[in-house]
Amino acid sequence: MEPELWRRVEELCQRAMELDPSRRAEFLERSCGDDKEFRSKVESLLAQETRAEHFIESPALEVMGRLIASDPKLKDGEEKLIGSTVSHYRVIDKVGGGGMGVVYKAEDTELRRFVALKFLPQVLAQDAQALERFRREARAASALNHPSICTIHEIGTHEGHPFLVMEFLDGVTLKHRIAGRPLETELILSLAIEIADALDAAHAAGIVHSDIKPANIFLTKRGHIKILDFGLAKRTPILSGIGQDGGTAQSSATAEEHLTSPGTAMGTVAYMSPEQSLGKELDARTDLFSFGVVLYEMATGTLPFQGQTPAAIFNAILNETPAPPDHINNEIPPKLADMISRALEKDRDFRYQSASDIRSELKRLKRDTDSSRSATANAITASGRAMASSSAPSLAVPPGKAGKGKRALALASFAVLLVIAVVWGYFYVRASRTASKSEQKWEQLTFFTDSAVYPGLSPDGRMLTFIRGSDTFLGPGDVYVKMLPSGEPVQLTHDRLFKLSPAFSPDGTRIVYGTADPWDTWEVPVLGGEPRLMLPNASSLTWIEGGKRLLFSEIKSGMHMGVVTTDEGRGESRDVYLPAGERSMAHHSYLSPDGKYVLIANEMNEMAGVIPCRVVPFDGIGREQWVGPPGATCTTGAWSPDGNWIYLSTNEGGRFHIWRQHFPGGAPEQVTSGPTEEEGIAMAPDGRSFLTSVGTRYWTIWVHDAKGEHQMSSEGDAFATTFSSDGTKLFYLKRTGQSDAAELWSMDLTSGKSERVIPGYGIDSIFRDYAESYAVTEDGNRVAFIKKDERGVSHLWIAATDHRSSPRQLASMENEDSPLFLPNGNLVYRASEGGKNYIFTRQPDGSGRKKLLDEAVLDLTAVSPDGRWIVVWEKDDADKDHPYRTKAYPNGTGKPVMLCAACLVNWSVDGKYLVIQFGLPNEKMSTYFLPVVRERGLPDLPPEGLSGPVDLRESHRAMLPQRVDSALGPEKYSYTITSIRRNIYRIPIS
Amino acid sequence: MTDSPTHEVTQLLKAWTAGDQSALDKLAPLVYEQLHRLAQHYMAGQRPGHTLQTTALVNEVYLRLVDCGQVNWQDRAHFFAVSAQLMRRILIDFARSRGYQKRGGGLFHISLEDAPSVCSEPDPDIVALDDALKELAKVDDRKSRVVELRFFGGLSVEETAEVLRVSVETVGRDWKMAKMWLLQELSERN
Repeated sequence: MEPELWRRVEELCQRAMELDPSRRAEFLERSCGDDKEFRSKVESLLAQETRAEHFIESPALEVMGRLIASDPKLKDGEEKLIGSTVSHYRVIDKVGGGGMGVVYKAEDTELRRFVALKFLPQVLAQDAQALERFRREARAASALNHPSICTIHEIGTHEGHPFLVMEFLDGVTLKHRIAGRPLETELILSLAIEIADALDAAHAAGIVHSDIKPANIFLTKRGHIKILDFGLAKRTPILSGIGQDGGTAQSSATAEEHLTSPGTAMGTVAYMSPEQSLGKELDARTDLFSFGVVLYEMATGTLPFQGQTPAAIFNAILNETPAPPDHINNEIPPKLADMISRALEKDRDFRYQSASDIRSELKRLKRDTDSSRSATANAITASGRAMASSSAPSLAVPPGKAGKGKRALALASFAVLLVIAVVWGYFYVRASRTASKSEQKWEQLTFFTDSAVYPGLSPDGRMLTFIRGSDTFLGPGDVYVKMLPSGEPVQLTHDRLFKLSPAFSPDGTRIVYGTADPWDTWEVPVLGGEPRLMLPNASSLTWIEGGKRLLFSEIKSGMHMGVVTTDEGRGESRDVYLPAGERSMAHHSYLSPDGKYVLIANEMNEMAGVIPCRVVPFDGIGREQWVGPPGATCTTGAWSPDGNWIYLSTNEGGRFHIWRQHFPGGAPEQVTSGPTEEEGIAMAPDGRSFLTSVGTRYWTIWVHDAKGEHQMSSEGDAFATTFSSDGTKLFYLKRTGQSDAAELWSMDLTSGKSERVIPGYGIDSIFRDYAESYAVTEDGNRVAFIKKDERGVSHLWIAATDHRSSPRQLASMENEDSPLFLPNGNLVYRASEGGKNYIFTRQPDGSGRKKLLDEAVLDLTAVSPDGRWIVVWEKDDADKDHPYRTKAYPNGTGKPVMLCAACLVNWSVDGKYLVIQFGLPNEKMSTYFLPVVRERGLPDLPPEGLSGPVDLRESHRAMLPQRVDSALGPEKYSYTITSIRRNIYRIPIS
Repeated sequence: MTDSPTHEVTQLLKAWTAGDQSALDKLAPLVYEQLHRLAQHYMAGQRPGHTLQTTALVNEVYLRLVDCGQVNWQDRAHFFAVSAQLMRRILIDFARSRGYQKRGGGLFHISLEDAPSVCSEPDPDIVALDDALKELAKVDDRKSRVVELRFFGGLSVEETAEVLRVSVETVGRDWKMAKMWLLQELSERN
């Protein structure tokens, strides 16, 4: 077509499109007259109008991405490697992929260690330029030999494809670790010092990383830093020390977010320096700015420069001053806040000029912070009073030179400490023996204002180890050791990772402890030192048979955890106890002193409910036997040294107390009682006392409104609040006295008066969580709640709130719980079936029971007030990187919507807001009230869901200490405050 | 400072705009990298979504270039124009070299579960589209550039308007008309 003709066609076409389609024919008739050819050109063009709306709306890059993804050649090539042997590396699994490299975990069959292999992606394998770049990067990265920079072992070739062999890193990226929550100051400082040190080394070699961000900073399990991906790195023009072709380097191990996450560019922008965003020449100070952004994020959990588009972020970087970090998180020392502000100076001349500058300031601050806290040094000052004056000053060794000197010092101090402890111990034992007979006094051994759990004793009974953390089963915390009775506690780990079950080695020199997900066993020397992975896939490990064999829990597959015994090299493995059900987990095991029986504690059934303890024969021959109060949750245990008694912690009667039972053939009897709770048992070698973690927990309910925070309960434990749909009443559960079952109450918010809703009926918890144990209909006339039968199986009950009829149980064989109501009064709930959990529905009279979703789920999270969406929490075991996901399923047909990986989700009572929370309860939780788009019933969310609070704008956000139980909107919501305090006590046995 | 990589890439960009083919070869890996990342997403069953994702990717290419080179931030328009051409060329070469084209051109479906919900229109054969676009350039150059910028460069209507120095309304009209023209052209070829 000639351009001139086209102009006429187009013009007519445009004008026709402005008209209603019904009038177009007449218009063309008039305009074209007899020129049939011209008219048909216009008409055929107009015919494309509807199709054109969606045509090439998704950009070419995406189209090509889909093409590549559907190309079977690529997938095959990459998957073929797994299981094969490359050189002397056995490829185990793919751990990350994309960009300029696909990374596999492999085993070095000669050196018997794990390594990471990085191959060029198939897309680039034939590309000569890419190959050359790959090699250059390898060379440059290996030039940086520093403990905090990922090490390149070698570069090899496999079937013509070059690959890098790198150190395998086990842990998470800093991005993962931060996840929208501020880190502890102590941790920030220790990580920051390592980052500064690595940057200093790179800068000294003339290499600027230029892409410093949390996704490129790896946090190993041992709590150390590794900087990854020198992919953008380049030599500074001033200090070009390596040859011309050494310009870039790339190293990356399991930084999956960096390699594959959406919005990577956006992520990168937020950490850029002003000079970088202006495209100016870069130098080392650029990294220091980005480092400042990382520090800011570690300190506050949020980014200093934010915006919806790269341009908006650039604008913030160039023109805006972020809020001082200590205004956002008041736990940040002002000195650190000042340092961060200085690193974020827009003009690089005003910033720190070198990484070593910032490192020395960080170290100074760490020293000042440490000295005001308990540390190895203070242990000596406190327990060895007379010695204090001579040993304390020598601790002023500059931290940079600490290494061997500090270790030697620690050893020397420890010897002193032992002498003192023995002397003290002698007097103590004399004193306490006389005291214990007359007074039966509990002796407090730790004095934390927060919480210490999981006591463990050294074989001689003189040293105590424990986890300083608030969860008696599993939670973030660190391992401590303490000389008994009165040494200062010494912190041995510094990573706040999830831990459980610390125990001494038979010779008393090491402490082993478990970590969770992966469930591994680590060991750390009692005298302090680097924690080391002792045994993967092993938890709650103890030595048996005089130290020759091990007893521990092992994941058999998926979520099935059993108890096994092996020799010290993990040979001669034998299953001791495998719980029934492929999602059941037996967490703790204790061998009887005669070696014949194993006490199993904290056994979770398929509903994650902890069941009573049991005793099983060690050799597998003979019968199993339940011990302790039937039906009660049993979490920890121990044997008396003579093997005649089993000690247990169970929640029979509502609170966790220590019970014991003569074995074999006794009845359970309660040992401790009262308002406190006791869990974790370490038996003294002489059998005259045991150590346990004694704690108090209180729950109070609160309402937040425009006027502030209001405590609504004043007596008993109150929790699990729900507003009535009109907002005039607050339902809540309350426990008083010793009863485990909670009663449902409702409070009139105008008068403040409370009354029981279903008098005489107690409501049971789901694994100590009551949040999902009841629901009220929109009209407030009916309540659904759960009660457990004598077997511990939970059932749904329905009650009318007008008390006219008595509550009824809905018949079920297996567990049914987490009831929620649809607007039509039908129930949606979770039920187990064949070892998996599913979402079911039934009518309030119990009829019409049917499965609502075909997919197995972990948990039912929420149902939207309009009944359109059902939110569940799922785990996809096939997705190793991000197995957990919270998804909204339409109630009916349609596609599910990804909400987030790990977050709490609920609707406001009126359905106008979706409340999303990130973070752990008891710590600060980023809480968002996202307005719901009415047509959809959900707020606007990124299609791949929220990866964390950083995806969301600050508006509608609140930092709350607790999860929101129920919300009327952003201005009014209710929550429960838990106050926990635990310390280790010695309790004499009478 | 003539040996710095910064300088090198600036030279490459200049060379490319001046028609030096080797510059293209050197820059293509950057685009491949993005492509691969995107493909990984689809393979993992994730949907990268709509404009935000693509803008982010295009921006990343941009940032890499800016980062490596001394492209002036103020001269965004120039960069966008160059990067769209670059993308077009690289993607078309890539598709040809891998045989990602349907005999006779036209449109084809990708057998990915999620793809249909991304856009109700099947993905185009971009090699055929490229040919059609060349034809369009002969009849109406500005419209072909709008398509190049929007489809290959991933630019928004506003950004396209900025590059071409025309109004947003004009870009909107051009974009719609160009798509109709291309669809008709492709259907004629079939």
